[in-house]
Amino acid sequence: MSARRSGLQKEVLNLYRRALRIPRTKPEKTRTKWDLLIRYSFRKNATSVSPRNISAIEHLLRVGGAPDSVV
Amino acid sequence: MSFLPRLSRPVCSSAARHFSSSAPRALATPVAEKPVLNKEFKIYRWNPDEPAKKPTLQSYTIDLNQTGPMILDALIKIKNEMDPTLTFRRSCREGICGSCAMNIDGQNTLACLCRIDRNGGKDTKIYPLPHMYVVKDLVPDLTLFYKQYKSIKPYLQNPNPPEDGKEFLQSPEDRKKLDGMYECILCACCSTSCPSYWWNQDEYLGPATLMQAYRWIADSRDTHTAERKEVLQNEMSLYRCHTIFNCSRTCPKGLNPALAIAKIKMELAAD
Repeated sequence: MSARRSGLQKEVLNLYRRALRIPRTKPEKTRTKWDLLIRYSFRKNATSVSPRNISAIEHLLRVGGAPDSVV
Repeated sequence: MSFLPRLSRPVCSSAARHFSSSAPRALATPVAEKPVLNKEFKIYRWNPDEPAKKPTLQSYTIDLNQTGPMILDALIKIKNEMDPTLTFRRSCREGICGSCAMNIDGQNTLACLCRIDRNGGKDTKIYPLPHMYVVKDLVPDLTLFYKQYKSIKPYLQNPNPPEDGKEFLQSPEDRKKLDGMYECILCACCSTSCPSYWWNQDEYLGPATLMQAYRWIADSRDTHTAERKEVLQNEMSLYRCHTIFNCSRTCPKGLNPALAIAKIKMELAAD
């Protein structure tokens, strides 16, 4: 996996990375559930759009609260 | 469906002046049936719940003789009677709130101030304001626009209260300087018609915000004029305006943001 990633791919991975860190801020008991929820909702949205549908991916990034997005 | 209780007699002679989106059928005095004048509206549709689907133009055909005179009347009629999922902002329906700003036949304007072209053969295309993120259908995301407006501190800044403790006085001449600027309703028609704003939204303030900036610079009661000018003294905030004049041409209230921007430039150059 040494392929060069596009800017959009990096943004998506950054969003996923930030999301995966969120459970650490939650109470010990609920962490596994948070982790499951985040992985599930990321997968669900990521598989719902074609990788070529750039505008849809950008929209999902904005909804997800990616740091570089304006909204 | 009407906003007010139905009146027993017509308020005025024109059949178009009713509060409901379609002409009521149960008037006390029966009106002669009007001929059918169908017109096609092509409206931009996009649903955020299905991001994988591309935005589409959906067409609706309505009878103009059963509709009010303005585009907004047609939109409300479509939403009420044909497709309740159509989403758009509207409030005052008289051009004072600025909610219904959209791109109608290639021109940014308020749907409530834009007459329907009664040429039935030609369709009317309705899009959201250009180059803005779309929330849904005709609703643009104006977060950044409002943030920019907030950044110019659109309020009176004067640390010295007036001597009589009541109000800041102003001469009629000073008050006249604000005419043509205070009327702005922040509908964002001008900003979203500006190519400079399209390409540099993040840094260039845009005509609507700049006109309000000048409204406070020109206000004789405001003492922070120098600070206000200082904020604009950089490459991007103000000087991205290349006097394209799309803003003045499109303003649905007939204001002239380009003139206000030119005046700021002159004052900054004179400093």
